[in-house]
Formats: sequence, structure tokens, C-alpha cells
Amino acid sequence: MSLESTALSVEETQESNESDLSLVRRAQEQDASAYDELIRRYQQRIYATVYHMTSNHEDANDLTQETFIKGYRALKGFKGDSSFYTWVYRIAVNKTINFLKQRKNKWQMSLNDVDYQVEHDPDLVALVSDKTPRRDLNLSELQEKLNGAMQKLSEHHRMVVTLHDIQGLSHEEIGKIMNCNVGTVRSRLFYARQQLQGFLSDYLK
Amino acid sequence: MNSSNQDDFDRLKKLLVLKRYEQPPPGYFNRLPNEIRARIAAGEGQTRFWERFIPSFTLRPVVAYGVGLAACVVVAMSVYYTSNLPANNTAATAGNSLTASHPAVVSPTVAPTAGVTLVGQNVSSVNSTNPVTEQPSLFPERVGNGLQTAPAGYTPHQ
Repeated sequence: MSLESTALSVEETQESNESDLSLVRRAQEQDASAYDELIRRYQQRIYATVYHMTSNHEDANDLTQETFIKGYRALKGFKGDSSFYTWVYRIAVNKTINFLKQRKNKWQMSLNDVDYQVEHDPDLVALVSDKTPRRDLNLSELQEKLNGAMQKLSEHHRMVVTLHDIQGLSHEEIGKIMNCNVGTVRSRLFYARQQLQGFLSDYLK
Repeated sequence: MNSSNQDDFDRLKKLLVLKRYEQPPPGYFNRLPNEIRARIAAGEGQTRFWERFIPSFTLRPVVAYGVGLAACVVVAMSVYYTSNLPANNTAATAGNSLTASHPAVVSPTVAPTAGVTLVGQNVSSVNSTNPVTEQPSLFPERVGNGLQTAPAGYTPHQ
């Protein structure tokens, strides 16, 4: 998954709105290929959101599938008041938060591998090499610490960090998806970052 | 926010970028739509109406308590109204149940068809629906003027 496909720009959303709507209309008339196209279009973002929330590939796989299955079943009720993207994201967010509340402490991390392209990210290289010359070892250690710190946040704070700082969504988009106002998004983000700073202080100084 | 905090925020944002590089196994996104399609074709995700409420109970105990309380109120009200039914309703109910459980106890309107002939009594009064009408005995009995009632075909021993 490239960074470009993960971060969603406003222009991209607006461009895809019409064609999304037309795909939705076809899918509502039992056109399976149209829904397939919608899955292909959004599967990476939905999976990434759920994965960053759960830090577990198997859980993320299950929840992503369930999100699209639920979306298919509920498609008849989709009126087009919001974009399909916001709508399906909302399903994923609610499913994930419900899942995490039920899971509580019964979980373990099942992390995906870090893509080799990370070696070409100057910011990350600088951050890691500042700390130690043994970059490979410390990338995986850092990955584990980062995921551990994320998991210490509450579900709503983790979701805001995931959607904004990792996936690049705007405050307004997050507000629509999480059904709260922009002020709430900002304050959650501020509080979550403060907490993360505390958990990861050894890696930020 | 002071500059040190801003600096930490910037470093944190850089660190969080690492999450974007975490990738699922190769080919995962090629297989995912097929798996979803197969599960949809298998009929997954079709929920019955009551199944939609169960997650709400799990996640929002207030909902569960509310439904439980409502059920208790309905039961309590049922018990209260049943025990405070008007007396004649209770009697009528009791009478009906007695007739049902003892077929020998028949109502006056049914009596003639049961083969009972009333001797020395006005038959028309038997058809009255007045509940206070005296019901005839099924067995011979002496009355004040010496008349006897007897079932049809009854021959007393000489």
C-alpha cells in the first residue's frame, strides 16, 4: 500500500463521488461486479484503518470482510446523503470499536511486516539512525513499541490518531465518519498525542 | 504550546509514519474481494430482527437493564390485574371451569337433551337463562306435595 493511496485528499473524494454513486446504484440492482469494484476501491483504506486499530492482521482481515458484507446487505438503505466512502468507513469504525470493546484485554499483536521502502523515507531514517546504528533491529522494536503505545489509548483516541496522523484524513472528514464535531476531533487528537508522547518518550527525545 | 512540545509533536508525527509502511502479506488485496464475494454468496450477514438487538445489550448495559425492567413491569401489572378481577367475572370463570371439568354438571338449557324429564315442573322455565333458576336434581327426590322427579325411563322398585 503506497502512502499516496492511504492518504485521502479532498479532491480525490470529490472526483470519485459520482462514479461511486453510479456503482452504488448498479450494486443496488444486484450488479455484483459493481460492488466488487467498490471493494477494490476502498479495501486498502478500510483494512489499514482496522489494522492500525487492532494491531492484528487476522482481526483486521475478519473485520474488513465483515464491513463489506454488512455494507452489501445494507446497501438498499443507502440514500446517497453522504459519500459511499464516508458511509462504508462509518460501518468499519463502528464495527471496529464494538469489536475492541468486546475484546478488551484478550488479544495479542500480530503485526504486518514493514515494507522495505521505509529505508527511503528520510524522516524515519533520521529518526531511527539518531537512536542506533542497528537500524533493522530497531525498526521492528520501534514498530512493536509504537503499536503497544497505540493500544494503550482509548478506542476513540486511537481512531482519531489513526484517521488523521496515519491515514491523513481531515478533521472534517473524521467528524463525519465518527459522527462528532470538529472540536471534539481536535481535542481528542491533542489528548491522544500527549498520551503517545508520554508512552514513547524514550524514542522522541 | 512551547517549542519543545511542538518539537515532540513533530517527532511523534514522523514516528507514526512508520505505521503506513506496515503491509499485509503479498497478494492479500487480490484475494480479499473474492473472499468477501464468497461469504456474501454463502448468505452471510443476513441477520434476523432479534439478532440486531443482542450486540446493543452487550455493549450498552443500560439497554439490557431497560428491557429487563420493562419485562418486570409487564409481569407485575399482569399479576396485579389478574388478582383484582371483578368478583362476578371470577365466579363466571370458576363456573365455566367447573362445567368443563365435570360434564355431569350441565346447564339447564342442556338438561332436556341429556335425557332428563322433569316431572311436575314447568318445562319452559328450564329454558330460562336466568342464572338463579333452580337446577333440577338428576336423582329422584321427594317434594312437599308428593310429586317425584325421575329420569326418563326410570322405574322405581315396587
